[in-house]
Amino acid sequence: MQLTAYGKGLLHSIRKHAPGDSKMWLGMKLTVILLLAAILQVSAKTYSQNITLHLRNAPLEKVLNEIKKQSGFHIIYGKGEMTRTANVDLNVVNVPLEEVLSQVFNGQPLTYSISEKFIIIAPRPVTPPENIPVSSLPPGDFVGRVRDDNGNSLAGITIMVKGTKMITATDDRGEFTLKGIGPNTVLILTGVNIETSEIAIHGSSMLIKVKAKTSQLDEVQIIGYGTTTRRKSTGSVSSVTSEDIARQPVQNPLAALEGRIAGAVIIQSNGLPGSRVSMLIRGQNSISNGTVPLYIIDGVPFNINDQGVPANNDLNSYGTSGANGSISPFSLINPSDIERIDVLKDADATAIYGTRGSNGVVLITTKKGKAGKTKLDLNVYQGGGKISRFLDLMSPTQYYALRREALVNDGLTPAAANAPDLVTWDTTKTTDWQKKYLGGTAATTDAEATVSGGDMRTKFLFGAGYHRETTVFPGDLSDQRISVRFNSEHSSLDRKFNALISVIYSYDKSNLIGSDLTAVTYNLPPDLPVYNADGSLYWNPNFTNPQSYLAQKYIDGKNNLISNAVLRYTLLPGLELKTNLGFSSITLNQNRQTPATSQNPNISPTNNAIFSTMTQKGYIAEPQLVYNRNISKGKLTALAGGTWQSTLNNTQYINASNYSNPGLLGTLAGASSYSLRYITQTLYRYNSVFGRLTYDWNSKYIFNGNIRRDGSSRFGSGHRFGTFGSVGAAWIFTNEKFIANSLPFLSFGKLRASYGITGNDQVQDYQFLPTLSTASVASAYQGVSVIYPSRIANPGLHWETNKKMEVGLDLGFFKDRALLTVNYYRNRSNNQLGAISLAIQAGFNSYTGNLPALLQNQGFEFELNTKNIVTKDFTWTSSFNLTVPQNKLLAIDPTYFYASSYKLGKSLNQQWKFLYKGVDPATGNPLYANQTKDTLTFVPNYTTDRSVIGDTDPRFYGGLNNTFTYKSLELSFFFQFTRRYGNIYPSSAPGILANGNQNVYWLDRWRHAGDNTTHPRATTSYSVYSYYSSSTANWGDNSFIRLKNVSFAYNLPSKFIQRLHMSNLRLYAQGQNLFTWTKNKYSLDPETSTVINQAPMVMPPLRTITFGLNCSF
Amino acid sequence: MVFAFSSCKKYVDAGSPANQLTEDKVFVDSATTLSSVLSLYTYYTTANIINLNQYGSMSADDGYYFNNSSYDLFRTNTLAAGNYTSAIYNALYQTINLANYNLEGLTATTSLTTNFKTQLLGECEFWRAYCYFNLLNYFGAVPLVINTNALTNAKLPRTDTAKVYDQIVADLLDAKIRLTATYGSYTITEKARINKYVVSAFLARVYLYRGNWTAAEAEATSVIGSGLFNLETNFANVFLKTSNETIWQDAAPYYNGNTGVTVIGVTQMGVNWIPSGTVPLFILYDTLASSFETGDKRQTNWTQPITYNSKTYYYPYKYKNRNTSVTGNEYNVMFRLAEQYLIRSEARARQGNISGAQDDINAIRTRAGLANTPATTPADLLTVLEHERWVELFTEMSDRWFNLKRTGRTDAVFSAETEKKSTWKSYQALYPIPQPEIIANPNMTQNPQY
Repeated sequence: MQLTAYGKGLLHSIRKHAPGDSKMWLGMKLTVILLLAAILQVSAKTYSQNITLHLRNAPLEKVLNEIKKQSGFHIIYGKGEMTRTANVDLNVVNVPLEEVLSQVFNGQPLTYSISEKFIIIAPRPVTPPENIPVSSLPPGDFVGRVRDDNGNSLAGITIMVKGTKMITATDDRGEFTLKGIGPNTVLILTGVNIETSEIAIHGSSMLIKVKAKTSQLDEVQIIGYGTTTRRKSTGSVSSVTSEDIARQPVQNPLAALEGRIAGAVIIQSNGLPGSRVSMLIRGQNSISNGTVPLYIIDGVPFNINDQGVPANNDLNSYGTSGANGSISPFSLINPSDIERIDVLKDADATAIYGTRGSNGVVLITTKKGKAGKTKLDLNVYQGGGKISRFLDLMSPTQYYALRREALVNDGLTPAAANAPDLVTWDTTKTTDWQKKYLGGTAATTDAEATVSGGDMRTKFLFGAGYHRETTVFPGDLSDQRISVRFNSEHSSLDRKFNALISVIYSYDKSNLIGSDLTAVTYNLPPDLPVYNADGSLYWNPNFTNPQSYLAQKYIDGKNNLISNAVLRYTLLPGLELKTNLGFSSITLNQNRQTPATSQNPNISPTNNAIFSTMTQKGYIAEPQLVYNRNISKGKLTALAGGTWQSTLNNTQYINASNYSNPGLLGTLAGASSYSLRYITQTLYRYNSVFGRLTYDWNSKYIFNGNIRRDGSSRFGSGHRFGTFGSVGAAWIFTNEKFIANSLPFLSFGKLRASYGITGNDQVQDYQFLPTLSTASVASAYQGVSVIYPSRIANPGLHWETNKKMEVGLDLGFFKDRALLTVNYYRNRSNNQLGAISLAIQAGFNSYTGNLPALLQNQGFEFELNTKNIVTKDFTWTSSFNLTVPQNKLLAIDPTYFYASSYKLGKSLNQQWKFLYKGVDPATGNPLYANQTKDTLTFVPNYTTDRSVIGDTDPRFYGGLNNTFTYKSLELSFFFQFTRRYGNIYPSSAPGILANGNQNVYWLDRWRHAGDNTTHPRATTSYSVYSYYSSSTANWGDNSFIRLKNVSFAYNLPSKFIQRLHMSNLRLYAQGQNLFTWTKNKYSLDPETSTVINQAPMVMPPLRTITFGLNCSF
Repeated sequence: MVFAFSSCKKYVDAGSPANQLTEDKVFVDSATTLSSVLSLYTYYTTANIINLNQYGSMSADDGYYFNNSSYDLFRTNTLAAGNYTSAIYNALYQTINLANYNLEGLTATTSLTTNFKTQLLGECEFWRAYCYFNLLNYFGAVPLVINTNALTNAKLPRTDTAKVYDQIVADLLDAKIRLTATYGSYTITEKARINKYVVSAFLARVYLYRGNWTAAEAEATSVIGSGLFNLETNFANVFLKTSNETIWQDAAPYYNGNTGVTVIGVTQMGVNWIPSGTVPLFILYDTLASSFETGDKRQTNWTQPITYNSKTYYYPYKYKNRNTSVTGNEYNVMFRLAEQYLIRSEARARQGNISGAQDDINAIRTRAGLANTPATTPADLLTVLEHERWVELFTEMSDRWFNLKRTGRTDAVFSAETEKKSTWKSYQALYPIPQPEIIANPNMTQNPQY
């Protein structure tokens, strides 16, 4: 506790110094200390005042006295209780108290319990105390009540009568009835959250106690075409469950994963609703092609290969865009529909996805109906978001001084032509542009309703959700999503046949503006007039009138349908036939409007609009056979299956122009001319067979092998099919007696390793075909449109291969209260698809092919989950993850067209920069090192004077979550952190009119001959700063720690809610992106600024605070 | 099992994209075939015609860009490997590939009428020959690529100049048989496609370059004697698309890469060379500007003075249209009749036909408003012809640059030229092979001394 207090003190000191203080890294240390504290807490609260005792044939009383001495615990026992005890042999060195007690009381007629600082001794009950008769009923009928260790009723537990086909389940009071059963009946109880147990029944009624699964190791983990547990898994899987997702008021479910998955960098490209959330699992494995994970929702691939180069996951790659830029298909997925997200990383987990597994696989499982009382869940939340930090720009006075100085430096006199801001405009009427255009509050409203229920044979769930989010921009702009979902599961009477049908549908409508105002308004000169005296928009050739952007509308409508059916039939005991059938459809309609009045009147503008559409339809059919059999002490599971998948993608983009009436910009009819910019249609076909063999010998040695043979229409006829596979093995060494005995504090230990080959097929369709283009330049000759071959056929075109190797260690301490996973991975991708240089005498200077270019991604991942304190009223749990990645190019073929942009042994994201060497005191010009490095120059040479100065890859990243519950209160907070470098300054050339206002960074600039300053002079000439942005002057620390999420909830007492006929009523408050500590003071957000590796101004993720209510009936 | 596998193979064959053309759909009907062949006239040509006109002009002593440091390397003949020559090298080879592609497609197809196919085959053969001729004269011996096996062709070494010329002549002789006097289509009267006389005109030039005087004379005679072309007496008309003197004009439109503007009837030479304001853009070498004889109408009609910083410069004014906002009336002149007279005159002089040679020179001089030539010996006639070619064909299709190299006169002429004498080196008569080609093709060699 002292340590925690120390942590609080630290937190306090960090808040005092942050942001940008050199002590920011205290935050990192804080993480470590909190973690340390967590571990120490674990040991304290598990009573592990360790004991060292060497006793032979000692009376129990004596042993207890020794323990009392060493531990300081009081021991309470009744008079005479020590009389019938057996003597004890004990030989322990530094063993936790609880372990010692359990050893001591083994075989004794006494039992013990620990409470606070007391060890309470009591007689051991003689008959199983759990199974006591509760009432008497007619013979042959049996009533049972199922309770867990804490006495809570358990609903939805399946009860089977051993040796018969009788089956039932507990109701929501945890009770069940079986009719007409004989004596000596044995019941088998199974359920998701309990350990399967067999109970012999006595009499006509019983209270049955079952063990709840408390270890996270036994929670079900979803893997490719099956399930496993963390205990038994041979592969590397990280998961996030609905609990973590529900704490975050996000529109896009992927945004809820940021910082929570070891090995995955997840970045939201901007803070506007619908924008892209990218996910990179274990580094960039492809030099120039897609690095998007394979996303699968309920068995249906959701991986939109958007045909971009490189492939992304955007809906509008071939469409237009609004203020939010690239549109994520996941903005159509309601986060509260999701039960869990499992991220598959290593070869063992991903090789079964063959050519699609290289970039990792993300399996999304939606919530399903559960047996039990029909339940109605309602959830509503509402809140607001704001930009958490504005840029520190110069005051109007500082700005005017800068401009005057720039003109003087260049020998110019302020005049209407070169300085309207000083001469023409009213310098007393200033505007804080950030406040005016970015200072609003974005409102968020979310409402969900779900009805679910069912019995043992039929379950259903029907839900609907509504989400609305506005923006911080002025005006009535919003993104709205309506989603519905339905699923139902049914089993035949003999339980041999089971069918699960699930449908998700959503409609999302955005009403935004065409541009992100963040980029275009923040740095306008403070005195720029918006309106002329007559009320019309003011125009200056150097600036776009900010008000005009508000008139440029962007409207889109999106539909998403994912439906699937899983049919299972048990052919023979242990042999199941299963088929997954899925259909998905996603559409996007966009309309971007540019009225003439929103454009500079001096260029004779017209009313224009853009219309674009995208539709994607696909189906998948995956029949599978699953076979389970016990062989010797082991359990064999075999899987064989096949995939038929087809996706058809159509896009269309139309430019419509010269509308006579700007009111008609939403229609095509009003345009006097329109042209088709492009129309595309691509068909992707994919076909494969796959298999898996798992053998688990005595829960000690587990072997897992995967194989897949894939065929993909993306590749040349000669190379459509390829074989991928992996081997994985795990050794649960704590199930070895010698280890269990010598390391009693270790409740679980598993060593695993895997190796395998996966592929990457994220290239555009038809790349191998010799297609023709219509000339973009001079497209007709004498009125005849011309066509020409646009590429060389390459029938040998095939996937990129990625050989993945991993060694992992999973440890559980103190009865699994602390679980640690450490992974080392090394991925080596080769056969990179790219442009291969050709001598132009061949007619083309390059062609698309596979070339040797070995790219390595390696790293360490740490995941630690601890239950620091668990008492009746108070619990504290933590989870922490850390990834230390490295990207390195090991070999590149010189025929690769862009080979010269890369450097062997360095990251793909290495940066070539001029070396900035400060300011020439005489002239105020920036100086750079020239090729000899010891002399300085104002005009460096692009080819010879740049060097690799680092890369933009993260050095390490991760997250720390802490959850506290006290009685009905729950508090959770989550920190995300990343250490990385990047470009940091938003601009250069201060003093140029068109560059507008500047960051206060430039206050420390050169002013007079002889000044020794860090920043060069003000100027109206771009040439002074020609190399500045691409020099080390613009390079710096983009690391950050973000208080990503805080969630506080109160569950109303059950007495109160029962009066309202509710089973649950919860009030909560949540905050997202609350505070960010970073050294980079010059951009709005250090994370989004690294997305495109510059320091652009994009709307940062908003600081959002919401209040909500959740109730169940 | 076999069936299952073959059906899998079939399943993952997604065919070809429904809205994109693939090669198998090109040579199946006349419309797409024509679209494909016409790409020869526009796709790479659009950007390349200006280079064909300006590079030779700058490297020789016709004209150069005023105050433009990147092009000064041409003016001072100090190009190095990797400087600016890839634009023309690439465009010529890309056009050759288009010609090869279309030749292969046309040869293989059975879906087209013989007449249509024969005509297009002739046009493709001409284009291939034309590109090789330019490559040889800019770069010396180059790899001879006559099919579309890209991966094999990318590794080919240089082919002897003579062998490339053999291919040029073979292609042209074949094309001459295939083509008629019609310019592509009976319905369009523009001389914007290759016909029989374009081939003859080019053959006359090629034979002249090969020293085959009789053949050169014969081909030039067939063009001059066809009666289809006349020397325009009104100088304003020579470069119009309606000019009687033009044998072949390329109708590739003007294209501005920066703005995306495409205009028909406007040439890059008009836009790039005619100054829009007071600053000269492209000016003639002083030696050329001052070498016109008194009264030469070509000086007054084809050059214009511009005074900048108190100095008078002259710029070429053959193409007169620089307005890119409306459709114009000028096409790129590729071959015109005046050159045929000059070719025949030289061929005749070389064969000792003095009066024939004089007649042809005088046809040109008379049109220019000058008196008949006084030259009476072959050597004098050749000297006169060198000058007459210069003042007639300056800034046109690198004519001066190629001809001084052909006649071995570069060292003599450029050592005396004020702008060049300090920097001229004989090896610069050949442009450097673009450096990426040497890197991409291990069998490729650089020209000497680069």
